[in-house]
Amino acid sequence: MFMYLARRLGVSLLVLWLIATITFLLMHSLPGGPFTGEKRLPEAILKNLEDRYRLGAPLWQRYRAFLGNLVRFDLGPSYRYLGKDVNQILAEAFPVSATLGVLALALAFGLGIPLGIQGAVRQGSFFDQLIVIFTALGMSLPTFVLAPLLLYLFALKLGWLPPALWGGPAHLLLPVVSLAVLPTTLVARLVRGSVAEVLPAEYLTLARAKGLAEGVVLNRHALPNALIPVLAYLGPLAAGVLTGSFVIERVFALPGLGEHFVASIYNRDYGLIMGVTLFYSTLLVGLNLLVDLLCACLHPRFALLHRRGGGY
Amino acid sequence: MRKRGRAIGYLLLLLLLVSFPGCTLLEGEENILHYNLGPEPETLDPALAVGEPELTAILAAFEGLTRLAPGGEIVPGVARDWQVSPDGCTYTFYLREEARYCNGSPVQAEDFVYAWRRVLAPETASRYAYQLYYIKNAALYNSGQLTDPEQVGVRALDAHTLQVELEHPTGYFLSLVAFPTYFPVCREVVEADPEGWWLNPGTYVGNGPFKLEEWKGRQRLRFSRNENYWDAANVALAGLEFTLVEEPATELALFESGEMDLASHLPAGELARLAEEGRLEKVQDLAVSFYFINTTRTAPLANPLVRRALAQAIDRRELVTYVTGGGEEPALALVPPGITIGGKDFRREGGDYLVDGDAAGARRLLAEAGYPGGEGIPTLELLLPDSSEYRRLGEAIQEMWRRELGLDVTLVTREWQSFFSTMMEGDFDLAAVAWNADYLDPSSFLDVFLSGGGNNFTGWANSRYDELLAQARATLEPAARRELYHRAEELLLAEMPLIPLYFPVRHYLQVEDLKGVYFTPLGLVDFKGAVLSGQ
Repeated sequence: MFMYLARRLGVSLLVLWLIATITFLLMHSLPGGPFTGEKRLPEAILKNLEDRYRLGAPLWQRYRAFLGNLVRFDLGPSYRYLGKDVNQILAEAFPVSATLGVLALALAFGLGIPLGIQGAVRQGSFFDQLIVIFTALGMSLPTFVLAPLLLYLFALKLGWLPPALWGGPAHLLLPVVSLAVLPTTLVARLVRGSVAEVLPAEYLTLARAKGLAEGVVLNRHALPNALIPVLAYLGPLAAGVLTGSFVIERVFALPGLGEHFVASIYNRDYGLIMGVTLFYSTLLVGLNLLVDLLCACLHPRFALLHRRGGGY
Repeated sequence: MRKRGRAIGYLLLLLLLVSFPGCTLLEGEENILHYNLGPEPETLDPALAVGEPELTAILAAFEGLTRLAPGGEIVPGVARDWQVSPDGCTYTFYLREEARYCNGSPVQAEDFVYAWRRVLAPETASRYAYQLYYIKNAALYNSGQLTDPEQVGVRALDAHTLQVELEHPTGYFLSLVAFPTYFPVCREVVEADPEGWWLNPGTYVGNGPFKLEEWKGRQRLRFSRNENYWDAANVALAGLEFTLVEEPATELALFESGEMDLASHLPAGELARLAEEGRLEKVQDLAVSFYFINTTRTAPLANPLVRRALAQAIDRRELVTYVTGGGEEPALALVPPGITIGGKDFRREGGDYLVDGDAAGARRLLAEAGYPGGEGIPTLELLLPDSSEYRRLGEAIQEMWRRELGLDVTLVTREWQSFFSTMMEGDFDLAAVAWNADYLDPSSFLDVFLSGGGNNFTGWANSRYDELLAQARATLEPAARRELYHRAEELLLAEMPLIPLYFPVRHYLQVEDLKGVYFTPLGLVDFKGAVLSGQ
């Protein structure tokens, strides 16, 4: 187990380094720069900017300086928000996205799992059909349609909720719902599929034959196995949802991370591009690792697999 | 179903668990104007700011030697009076003794000297440093060719007298000093924390009508009336609250739900509806939307006749009615209306240099140039920034050229920065731009087309044109200067290295109670004179 953990950690660091390097190179191959405006500046001013923000140095020198800062967990300054560090910008924006994300995840799992189970248990029933329709709708409705629609309906037409901005709990409702719809439908479909798959399994027939009530069969025997795929999906889902959505944060004017993913590239804010990319990758890699470990702990087959060093 | 109920209960519980800090209320909460600034300011340092949100916020918190007032009039700011030497090169400003920063310290001539040298110092790396290049030796000092700041032509004769020496007579210098890059800063707070003094309301010390109380990340800026401002008696608002919403549709939703008093970034798709409802208001921007023509890439475009044919075949009236649809004025010259020289509006005085939508005339020009019916002209590339407004306009013009002149034009859309570098490399036949004035003078537009100018992407060079502009610069008498500018503009439009399209306007919505907000010609919003009635 320890070897497995060490290997996974090593691979994760390698992946992060690769991501950092590729992003760094790609970013600098884009035309323009952080100070390109609507008008071309006089040469003297461009030179002053290059000197002050060290944009004139050769790429390898800047790469070395970047890596040097990175190992000290310093992502350097933003080129757009003058006087601010990328660390500071991430620290301001992440809590907003994370709050939305945690609530959306809670909603997705709290709603998606029961719906999926019910769908699987009552396969083919009217209720199941409803779930299928709901999930198909949720998956095909893009957030840039859903979010403005919810805003128009609940904030402008009905006037029940504030249309935008970051404030009290009421401000959270529409963005959280918009954010949760897709993961909820994904979770519901996943659960429905995997529960439906285990229900006819022989060990469940055995459990029923022993005389156990259907509820016990479901909760104690079917679910632990059926939910493992859901758990495996939790890692990437959580990383995606916690780091925010550009569309939702833009529509509801929330000061989260999502906006930075897109805006930093438009702005050629080199520091911030690296910051958000690495932050997201670290979260993704870390959560995947965590989920894998959880799976290993929960699932005897996984554990066995790795104890033997890879093969069956 | 019980499970779903439990899930919702769970969510509500979670919502309650997340705690939110309450807001502290300023005095007279209902007398605070709510406006959406747009994106988070990159900086609030007058020396470094270049964008509209930054400059608008700075205009609330600071004041220059002069202010611009409605009608483009120049009124006293920190300077109560001034004198111009007969050669137009030396300005002496007499500062108000009662001018104060919000921390109570006096605003003195030395502060301007300090602030302007700071803008020009190479290590400050101010992007708008060129706004100060009119001052003697300013450009040399900024480029590092001169290292002694004492040589820059600005000095304090005494605490309340500032003397400025210019490189050339500059007729619009009094409007320049109303621009944020020229604002004074409080030396002690800036020197205490040069990189971050403007990030913190406690050290953001300005001398303007309002004082920064709070800057909450990408959420909002709150200002209160600056009681130390010399003209505080004429500031009616108790404060300002700027939200930082980037999406125009969301800004409109906030206005519609009563959370904004003024909304000036409106979604293009809603303008027609708002205009129909009679709520939409507009002001003329000092800007022009046009296409650069690359005169050096293909043989046909090197010919002024072809260029004029392209310009003449466009029906601008149709464009502003059906494509932009916001009540814009068709541009039949380069310089937009709104610039006054010697008491007369430059555009109205000069008139038009181009016939709009004259397809027959355009066809004649094309035939005269040797390309009858567009034969022999290769497919032209129209380079556009990636935005739906540019694209819709481009498509309409593409169709007009195809229909009227038989020309094939392909639209090439690029993300903004990539667009800009493609344009700089000259890799286009036509490129769409909107040019905003930097200062209140026709030269802010005409200088673009100087031979070898940094923003002249047309490859067009004309020594007669350069000469006319140089002559105008050296001419003190306003009417004579205006005449020279008109002749330069006429020459430019006869040669047509650009295709003028329309003069953009700025649209806004405001609540009925609000009066006196001033949209300056340079696109900033001045809240000094704003009044929310019923207070």
